[in-house]
Amino acid sequence: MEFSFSEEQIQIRETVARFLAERNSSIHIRQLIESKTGYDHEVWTSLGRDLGLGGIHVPTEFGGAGLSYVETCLVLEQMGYALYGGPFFSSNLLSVNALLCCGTTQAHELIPDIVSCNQIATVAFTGKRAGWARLDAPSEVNKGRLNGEKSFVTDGLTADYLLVIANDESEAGRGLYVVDSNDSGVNISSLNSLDFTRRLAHIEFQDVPTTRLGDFNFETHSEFVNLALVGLANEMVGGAQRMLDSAIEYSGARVQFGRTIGSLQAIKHKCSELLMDLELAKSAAYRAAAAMSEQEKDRAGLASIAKAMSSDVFVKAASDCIQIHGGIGFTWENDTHLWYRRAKSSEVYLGDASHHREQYLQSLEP
Amino acid sequence: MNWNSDQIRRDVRIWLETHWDPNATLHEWRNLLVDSGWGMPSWPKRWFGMDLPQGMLPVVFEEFDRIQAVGVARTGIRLLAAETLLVHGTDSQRERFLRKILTGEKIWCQLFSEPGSGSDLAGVTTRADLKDGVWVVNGQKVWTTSAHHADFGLLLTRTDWDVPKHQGLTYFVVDMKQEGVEVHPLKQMNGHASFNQVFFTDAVIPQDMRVDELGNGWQVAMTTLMHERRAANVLGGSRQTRPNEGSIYLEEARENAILTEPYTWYPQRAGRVDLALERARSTGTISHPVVRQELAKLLMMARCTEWTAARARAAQRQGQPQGPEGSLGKLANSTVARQALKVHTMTSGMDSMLEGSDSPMDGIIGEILLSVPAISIAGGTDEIQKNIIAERVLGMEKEPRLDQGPFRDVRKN
Repeated sequence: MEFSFSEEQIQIRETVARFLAERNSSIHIRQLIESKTGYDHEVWTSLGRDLGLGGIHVPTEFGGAGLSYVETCLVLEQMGYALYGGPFFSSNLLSVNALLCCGTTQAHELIPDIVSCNQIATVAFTGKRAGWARLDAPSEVNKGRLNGEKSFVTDGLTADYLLVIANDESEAGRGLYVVDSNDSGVNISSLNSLDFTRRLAHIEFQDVPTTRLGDFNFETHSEFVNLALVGLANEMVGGAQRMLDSAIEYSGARVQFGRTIGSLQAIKHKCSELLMDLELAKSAAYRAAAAMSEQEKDRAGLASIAKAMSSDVFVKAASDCIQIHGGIGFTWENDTHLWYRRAKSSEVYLGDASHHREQYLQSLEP
Repeated sequence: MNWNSDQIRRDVRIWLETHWDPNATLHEWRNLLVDSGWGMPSWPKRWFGMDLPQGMLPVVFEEFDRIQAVGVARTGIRLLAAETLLVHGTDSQRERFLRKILTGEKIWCQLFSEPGSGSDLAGVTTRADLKDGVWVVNGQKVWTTSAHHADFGLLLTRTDWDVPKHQGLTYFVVDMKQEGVEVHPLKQMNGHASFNQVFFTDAVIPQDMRVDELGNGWQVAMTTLMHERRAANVLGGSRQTRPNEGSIYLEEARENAILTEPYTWYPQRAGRVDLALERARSTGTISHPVVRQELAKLLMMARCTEWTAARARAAQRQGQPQGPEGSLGKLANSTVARQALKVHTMTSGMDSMLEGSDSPMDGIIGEILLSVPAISIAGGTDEIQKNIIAERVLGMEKEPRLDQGPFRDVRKN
């Protein structure tokens, strides 16, 4: 069923929502922002082990739950709602996807320790450019040694090891490589991330010994990026839903001119438009999740629709939420800016809305 | 009761195999259909139905489609009239009207909107006064489709001016073919005249044509409007092409032609998203980056709107009642149409200054430019939809009202 969720799926969603409401409240988030690692190791392992979410769409033979990408996306939606910031996105999503896409025995062997949350991995695949291109990997491997740099690497500072997409100068071509974060030739520096809950790193590699896990050609890379886009889009519509809920709640409590501001049409119309945009974006995110899970032929185009729609709606929701809160919405103590930061960061991560509109149109070309 | 869809499929198949005749007259066939209950299977057995749950209807329709059997008359306002009478009418009204609604012999129209009462339907001022044992109607209705060939009308009137606005309304069936009912076409800004203005001057309604209780007109009108929304959702489906043989199809086509004539511009009103990509290619504007962005926005919004409608239908199938999500879909369609208007203007360039045969695609582009403004007004303005969404979906507080108290004292146009 592509346009509705089963009872089991709804149950997963509700379990995650309850767990995160309790263990990842804004009080927790604010404490974690001040912490060294930026995340609560216990909450992450609990998500992975107790709730069994460490490898939702990972086949059971690799220790996963053997469900589909739709379930993974449902969980991400709730993580977006709660502004969850642990290594789930880098490790249990990006890394797992990279290893599954790579598909070799060597790659598969790394999956169980990620699923069981014994190790944190992240994928270094984005370069230091302002723009975004799918084959942007200015890192080269020569005789097993990696040189070059990657940037905007999520959880780069906390990961136990790095999965690097790089090009072998010999005929082997593009591949997926494992790099030990602690190697002396790896220089990881923290970037001042707009989004406090998704820490980014810049990484330089100098003659670093690597192990090639397998090929990572153009098609593999596209599949990996599309999976990331769709996961991100679902996370973003979750965040947008939180912003709408917050705006509605506040507008029902805030009284001016002897009435709640929510009774004013100016506020009502803003919220109704937002709900419409959000429902459209959710449809795109859910539809794309089903397409990835079913390996549909036009999934690249659907992934671009999902990212473009969710980029626009999350930023709109967060901006409107600040606006509806009025002055208090611009204060540090109000939580809205935490989500606004995530919205602005996710808006451009892996390509902004206009990039993906162009990608979509190109996917329609004969 | 437990319904078995296989059993129903067998039953309807056997009945159709025995009775369907593509060379019967439309009148003969539909009377047979009405008597069998297969024409409106979800209706009560007593009134030409089978008491089937709504969820079983697709099975029946599939069997009709399979052998291309013609169904009962469904176009226009007639089914809204029938559904309304099923809920609120008297047995003698049902006896008199239902069969001829289903056979297509009688045409109906809906007389709700007024020049002074658009979004605020409960503010109607067309009056009905009881004089010498009959109701005498005076006032003006507007935006009435098919009024010029309608036999009967569903009429919302004010019968009591001294109670709050919603309580002073009464609903009638009015005979349109009488002196005192005058119908004039209403020409729209796009040049078409798809609707009418209807003037009532001492028109007469017998007392037994009142629908439901005196003062209960608002509730009855809500029933009609609920079915109007449901019908609007069904209209989105594709009309299948009929086989060439069989005289009944010619009759059906003639009936459709008359009733769909006022709606030829409706696809243009919705923006003709289907033409957008091809127009960008054929005009060469597809190489323009701004056009590409706006075009992609349009195509994405249109697809998301379809998926959202599919989600709403799936929710309905799972037993969740249709709620105000209908308003969400309507708002989305408006937004898509406006974006399409923008894209068509960009791709047509200076040709957007033209209409009629000088306009691209034999005037289709010009008609889009002049028809889209209707979509965010007809059937409830976008602003009203947003109020409905805010109050009924998002649970936001209602606005303080200025129109409570006796209607006589409420400010009007």
